[in-house]
Amino acid sequence: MAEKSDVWQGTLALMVLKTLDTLGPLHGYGIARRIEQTSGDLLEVRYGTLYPALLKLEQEGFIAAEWGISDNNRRAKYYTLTRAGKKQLAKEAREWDQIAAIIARFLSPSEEAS
Amino acid sequence: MTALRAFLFRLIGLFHKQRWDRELTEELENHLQMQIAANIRSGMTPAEARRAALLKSGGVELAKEEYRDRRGLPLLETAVRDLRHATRILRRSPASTGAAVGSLALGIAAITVIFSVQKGILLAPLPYPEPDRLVAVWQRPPDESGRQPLTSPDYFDYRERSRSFEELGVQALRPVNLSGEGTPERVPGSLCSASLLRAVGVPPAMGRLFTDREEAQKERVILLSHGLWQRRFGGDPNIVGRRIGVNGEDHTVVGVMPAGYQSPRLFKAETSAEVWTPAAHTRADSERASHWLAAIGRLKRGVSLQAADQDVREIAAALAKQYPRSSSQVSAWAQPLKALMVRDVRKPLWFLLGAVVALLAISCANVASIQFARSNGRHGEVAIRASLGAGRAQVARQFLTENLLLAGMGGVAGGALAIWGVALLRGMLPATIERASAIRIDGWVLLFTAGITMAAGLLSGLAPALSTARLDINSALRQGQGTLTAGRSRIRFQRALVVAQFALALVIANGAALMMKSYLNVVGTPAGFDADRTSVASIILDGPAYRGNAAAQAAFWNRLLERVRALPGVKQAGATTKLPLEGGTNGSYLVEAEQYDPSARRPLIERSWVTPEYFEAMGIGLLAGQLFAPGSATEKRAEIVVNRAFAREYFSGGTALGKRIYPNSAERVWVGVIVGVVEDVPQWSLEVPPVPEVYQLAESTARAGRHLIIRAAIPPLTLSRGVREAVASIDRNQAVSDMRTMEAVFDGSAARRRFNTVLMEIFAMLGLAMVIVGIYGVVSCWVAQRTREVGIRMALGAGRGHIVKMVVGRGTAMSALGILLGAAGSLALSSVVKSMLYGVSPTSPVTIVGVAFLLLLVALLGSALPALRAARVDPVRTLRAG
Repeated sequence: MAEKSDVWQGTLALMVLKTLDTLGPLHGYGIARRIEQTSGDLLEVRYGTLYPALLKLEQEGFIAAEWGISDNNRRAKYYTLTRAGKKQLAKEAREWDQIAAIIARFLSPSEEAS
Repeated sequence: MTALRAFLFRLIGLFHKQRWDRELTEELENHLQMQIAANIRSGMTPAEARRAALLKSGGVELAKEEYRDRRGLPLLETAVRDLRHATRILRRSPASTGAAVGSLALGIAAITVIFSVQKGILLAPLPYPEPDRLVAVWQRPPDESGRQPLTSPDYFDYRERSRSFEELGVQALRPVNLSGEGTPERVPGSLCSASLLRAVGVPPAMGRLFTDREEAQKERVILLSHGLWQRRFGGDPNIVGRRIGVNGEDHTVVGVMPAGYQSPRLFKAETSAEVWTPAAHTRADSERASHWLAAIGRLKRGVSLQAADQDVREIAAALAKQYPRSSSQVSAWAQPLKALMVRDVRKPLWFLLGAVVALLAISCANVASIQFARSNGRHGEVAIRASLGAGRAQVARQFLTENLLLAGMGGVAGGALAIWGVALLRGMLPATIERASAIRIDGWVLLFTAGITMAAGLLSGLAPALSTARLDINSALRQGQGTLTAGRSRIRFQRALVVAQFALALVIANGAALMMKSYLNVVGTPAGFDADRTSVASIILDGPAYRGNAAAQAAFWNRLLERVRALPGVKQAGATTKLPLEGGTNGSYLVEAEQYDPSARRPLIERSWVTPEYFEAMGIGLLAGQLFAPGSATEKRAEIVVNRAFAREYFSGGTALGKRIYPNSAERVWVGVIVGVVEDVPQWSLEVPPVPEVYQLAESTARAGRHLIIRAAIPPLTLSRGVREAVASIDRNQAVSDMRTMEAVFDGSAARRRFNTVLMEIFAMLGLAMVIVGIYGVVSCWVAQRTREVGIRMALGAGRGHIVKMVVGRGTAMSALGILLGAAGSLALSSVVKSMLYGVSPTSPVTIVGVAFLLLLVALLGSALPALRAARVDPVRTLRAG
């Protein structure tokens, strides 16, 4: 259980960073919505995973938080990608590509035969 | 970097809990509302929308919990919570908390005080540059141990021939008279070579050191201590170059040493010098028998002590060949300066450290025992916590936290006590203890105290914590609180603690008793003189008029003694060149038929030059013959008085009267005739038995330093002024030392032993007090657990006396085992203790049995109170309550 959530946490952080990179400043609900939509509703983001992850990113200085007014005129906390966050995103994306490529090579039998 | 940033963030998170909680709630609520709004937009009814949103959230409260864990530092928060709980628990039973903290505080204070002494005296380096390179060089008879100073010509030979030393110098501590402006004053001084100052290597604070050239040309130059400069010369900024009167002659001040500088002290009774003057040394071979210069060398870099030792030994062997008459019986050796300076305090300090370690162990055992008893009453609490999900580690952590809190309080109280203790101890310290000024509580000592405190807390908390964590929840819950059977093994553990405490306490108390017995033996040693109503003032007659002039000195002394005898209250007054108990002056003689033989080693015989009235003034009894007649000494013939030890050594049984002694030289330049035998007076200290001594008439010597001995019918120190006036009326340039009673001289000789003994007694008392607390606690605990049993016994007809006997018997049995173990331990340690004792065997059965009885008494005392409480048990009530 602990292991699974770790992997999940790691990838969730990457998804959050990417979301903020693509859409700009966004509140928690927006981030969750975007991740769920992008995953084709295969993923479900619970509060208990999202908010600690946001806090961790904030503590590490990759995102910044600020109170603002949402579309429906409510006070909401908006998260923005910082410069360190941009770098981190690039780094993690690169690493992720690498892992994905390695795994893909393992899983494609045709290449092994040739 | 990222991790550090996150840590700081979380640390800040600890302090903004409430606001952040509010914000989180708001944020999560927003999220929920947006989700609901979205759900409604997709066609749900508001109720459905809300339900779906809540479902999807995965639990708002759970999310908050996880968020909080991430925000603060959960470990720290738990520690704070444990600490709060611990404080509550400790406050619930202030008596046992007080006993535990008190025990620890005393144990920690004792070890801190002794450690600060250890550190200041033994561990800290000597206050000189590169002190490890400093060694003392001594002469000694071949194949014997001994520390004989060098002779002046030997010093030059060693210095020139040795290859091991960067610099080698010599010193002899001699008081000097400061005259000139103000009252004449006698201050401790050092006659030293310029090379000695360079060897020691401390530069002056002002001016310069004196030079070899000044020394060789006998120039009158002087260095002052910082203290003397401030005190006598008012801190005169132009002191360098000023001329001051020293021993009746003008000397030029060339420099002032730094504040706090102390010249190395190589002999026991020396005090640190306040002035340094060059010694005009001679290379004359006639001086090769006159050993008076203590040598200190600075080793060349990379030269070992062994190499230096070998070096000086070879030089001594060469000198022995070259000067067979004077030096054939002289070897040499080198000793590290530090080992020399701490030689007398090292052993007692380790001894005391051993005692305080034992004391600390006893106090830890007390804490462990008290915590154990406390945990007994908390089975219910622990069981409930465990059944609510607290893990064993959590329970153990809670107990350890309690112990660390106890230890922390004990450590703070102990540290405060130690600061007071060190101040007290410095006041008690004998003046001659080396480096006393280095004893203080500093950062290192406090660090040590903190370490000891932590260790004590963990150690005393480990066993209770582990055993409570292992508690069987089911049975504890079922049985509620007090149980008949619970903790059979816990009682065993507590009993083991009591046994250990008694064993340790016996070892300390036995050591203290032996030290006390030794001290009483020492001060009970017959001094051979009458210390009551006798006092002493020391005078060094100095100045050109007296130097080397025995007749001028005799004239001064005769006038002085006459005037002092005329003072009201004075019964007798005399003079001597050396005082009992403060070390000696010695030489060798040929007795009767003995023939001069340069290769034979003659035993050293003490010698004093005294006036005839000295013996009466000092109260030394005449055993046979008579005292010398004034004016009887000529250059060729002297009347001699010897002590009992001399008579026994050389004329065992027969009479010494009329026998002759001669100087130990080829020519019999004079002859001494023994006219009287007097009682022995210990020369070196109360602990060194008297050795043979020869007394000669004072008028036959030109020794400048003498002691005026006054026997009076009134309190001796009231004469101080009269004596000063008498001296001033004869020669107003002469300084008189402060007057001391001979009682003070006597006490001074036992001062170190008294100091060590007093500390040991204090530690033993503390040990006994802690042991009483310990056994009281354990027996009380035992009684509390057996209230029902006691009730049943009483219901079945057991009398109160029977119950008291049972409980007291129980306590005494525990302690008896400890006492036996302690006795065995004391015997095993006897070889260590032996060297600390005087006139009592370390295995003295009387002492050990006495101490064992004392401890049994302690056990009775400690178990009597709980026993009486047990006897007051009301059988009806306890049985009903059960």
